[in-house]
Amino acid sequence: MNLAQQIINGLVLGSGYALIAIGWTVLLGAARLVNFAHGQLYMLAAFLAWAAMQQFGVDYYVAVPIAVLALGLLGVVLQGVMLPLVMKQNLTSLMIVTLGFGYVFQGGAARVFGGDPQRLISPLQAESIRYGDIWFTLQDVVTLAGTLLLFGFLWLVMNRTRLGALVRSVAEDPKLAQLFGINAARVYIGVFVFECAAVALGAGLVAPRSPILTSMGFDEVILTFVVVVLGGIGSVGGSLLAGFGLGMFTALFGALVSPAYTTAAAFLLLLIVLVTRPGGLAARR
Amino acid sequence: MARILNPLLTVEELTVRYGALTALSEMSWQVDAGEILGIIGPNGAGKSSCFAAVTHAVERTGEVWLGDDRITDLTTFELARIGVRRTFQHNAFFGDLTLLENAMAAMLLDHSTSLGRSILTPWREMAKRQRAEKAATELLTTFGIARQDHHKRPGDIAYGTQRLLSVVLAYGSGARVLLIDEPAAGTGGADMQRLADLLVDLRDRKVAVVVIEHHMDLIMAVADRIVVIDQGRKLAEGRPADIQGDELVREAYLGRAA
Repeated sequence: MNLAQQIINGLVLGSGYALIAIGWTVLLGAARLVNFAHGQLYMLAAFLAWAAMQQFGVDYYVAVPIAVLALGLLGVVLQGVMLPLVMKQNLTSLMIVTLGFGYVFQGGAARVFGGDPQRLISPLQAESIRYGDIWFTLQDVVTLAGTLLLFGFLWLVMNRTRLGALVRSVAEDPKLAQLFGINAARVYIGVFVFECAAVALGAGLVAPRSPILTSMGFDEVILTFVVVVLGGIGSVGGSLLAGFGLGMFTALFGALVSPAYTTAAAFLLLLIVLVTRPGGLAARR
Repeated sequence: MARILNPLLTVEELTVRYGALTALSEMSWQVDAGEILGIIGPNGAGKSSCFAAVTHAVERTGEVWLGDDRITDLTTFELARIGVRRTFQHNAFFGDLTLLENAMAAMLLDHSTSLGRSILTPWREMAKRQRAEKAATELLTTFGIARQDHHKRPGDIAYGTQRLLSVVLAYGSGARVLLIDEPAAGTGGADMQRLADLLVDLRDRKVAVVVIEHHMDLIMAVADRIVVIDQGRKLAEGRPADIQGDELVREAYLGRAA
């Protein structure tokens, strides 16, 4: 095994996991809200970008922002529908509702985009970079850089701005936040729009790695949920760490043991972490 | 009952219905800046519904005025922004934050930095954060919460101080009307005296204070006027001495409670 190459693979995989999970991390941290349609939103964004390129012949660099914008708008609509449930923090109903949205998106996408695997082609994917016996693509570099930038930006917003303080106070106690003069409904919508837009960006950067299918959403949900929970509910830094950790684990486990059992092993790892550190990696002990 | 001239907060015929139950029926009262209005009545009389109705946390009919401004249609957070705030029977603060962070959160809208400025001028953000911390420290200490408690979480301080904290946070960077729901619940002795002092302090700061309280000695000592509520209706209104002497009130509330 080429260890250096596996570490590169781990970084590449990990940055993808972290990037796709970031929206859900903020959503869970800020709105105490799960969104089981997250994976289908990823799928939808990938197919929207693909359709923009195939049907309308736009550039990859234009198609991805279009997908981000479209998903942001979709976020407003979805959150508008769910707002009464969110304000009441009716979590059980929200789980079912988001799961329902997921299946509707999956069915709708299969109807519109068909059941065949497609490729979202990024020009960056073709640019490979070699150093001795390790190699990676320009797409990998952009994904990694984009992930680190987005996490840095998010940390800045959450910890150093009014917006972040608003989001954090609503996360703690929406009723109390309202008594301090904060419009909780608007914060919820904002967070949800961020989640949708962030997962669309993740799809734009990560989806070119492998063929896309309208049925791929559920796998994305599961792996993203692992990253979010492993990182510690709602912890921005924790989910970054968990994303890279899971990526590294997947790469090394795949190379050393067998790629076929990676998901099972990842869940075993999750079990161990949760039993020994119930609050996730970022928990204060 | 004589109406006060130019009251700060006027509540007119507020009615709250929960399904078939009328929790509050045509409730009217006024409170002026620098005045403490006590609201008393048996359990389930509609006292807390009255606060929920004023702060628009429930559907209601009637009118609410702040000075000459009609504020009936403002939402809870808009009311909070113009300085009309309430506390709850239970303690209300962010359990995972320290007292100082809680106080900073309560004054969030006055002491925070927009995204653009935070990126372009990070030193200003830092200065502003230090100012916010200073203002938060000041808020807590002026209202008698000792410095050694500022870096503890609310769960780790004395219960009496927690009650105090809930009121102080609602005051934040300056409320105009404070509706305080059973501040002394579960306290006694010295803690109750500190709460009484806090209420008087707020009155001295020209806040219009409305207090729901079951401790008769506390309310009789600090309130300027008292409204007695029973079964969602106003039963009596007057100075504490008058209320204590009122036969109707004795029968409906004081007598029944004793």
